[in-house]
Amino acid sequence: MKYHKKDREGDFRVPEDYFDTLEDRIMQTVLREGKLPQKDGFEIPPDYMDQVEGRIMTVLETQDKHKNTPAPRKKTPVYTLRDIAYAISAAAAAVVILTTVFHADLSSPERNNTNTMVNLAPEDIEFYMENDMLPLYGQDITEMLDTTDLNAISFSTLEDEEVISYLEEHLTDYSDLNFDN
Amino acid sequence: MPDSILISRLKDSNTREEAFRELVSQYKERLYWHIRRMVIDHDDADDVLQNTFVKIYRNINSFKQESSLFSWMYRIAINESITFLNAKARRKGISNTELQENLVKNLKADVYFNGNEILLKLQQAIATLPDKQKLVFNMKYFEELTYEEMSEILETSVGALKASYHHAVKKIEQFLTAD
Repeated sequence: MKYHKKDREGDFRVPEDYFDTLEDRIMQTVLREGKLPQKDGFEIPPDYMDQVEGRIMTVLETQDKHKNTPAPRKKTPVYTLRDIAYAISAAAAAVVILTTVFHADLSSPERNNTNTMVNLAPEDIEFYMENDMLPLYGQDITEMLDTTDLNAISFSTLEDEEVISYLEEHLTDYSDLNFDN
Repeated sequence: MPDSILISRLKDSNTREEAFRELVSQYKERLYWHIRRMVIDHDDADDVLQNTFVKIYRNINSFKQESSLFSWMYRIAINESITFLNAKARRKGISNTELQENLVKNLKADVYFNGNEILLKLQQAIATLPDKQKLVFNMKYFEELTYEEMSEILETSVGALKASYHHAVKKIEQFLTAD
């Protein structure tokens, strides 16, 4: 059916963006009345929502109390991202060397098969590494270092292009994303 | 209360606590249900919700207001949930996919899950979705956020979100009608 201008611009008006969102709202209604269930089945204990504020305030008070208790000050080390990169590289190099040594050692005929290291094949080590059992996630770094340590990390030596290039190359898992402001 | 006033009161040490209570009261349910759909278990959701609000309280001074307060809090909730799930999977020595499967399996015996076979299957279907589609589906279908709100929270274009939602719905429908 064709719409004439007078049909659209008569005395009737619609809320702003009405037609822009209409399709989505109809789809939502159709879906809800269609094949998918309308609820998720999750429930909460009675009074949970009434008590949650009090419990959050208690957590904050407890943390503040703990924070205000004087503790022996430790010297805060200053790490640059490059330091961390060097450390990771060194660890990786060590693993590669160890893997190579084990491999060479295991291949030698004079090797005593009863040694426990015989049971550790290079493939096992590689499997161990490839299956994220020896990872160093960003979250691990944040768990190891406190806020002061993280603030002390200098990123000034890294160019934006380097960071973007690194992320494009390595960021494949959506869960690795950290949302900011 | 408009966000700008609430934020000013949150940043003022004299009004901070009272404003924070209002903030919790205003947003606790929306954030709880979002977290719950991500972590599945109520006790885990409670832990993550508390951590989320503690982070909001501790970081409110660094909130730059480049997005709405709600979007900022939502992002913190999503991050906390992802961090929690990753840590849980690592502690158990299993992959995130296996963890999702286990969480849904445990729903059968969960006293805080009042679901029949269809709802259980719906959760199984959601668990099979990639992370982003899962987020988009929950935010759109259950939480009824607009694409514009989701776009601000997830920093993704409206078009991409519509595509994600469409794919998610198709996959879930296929899963539910497979047998």
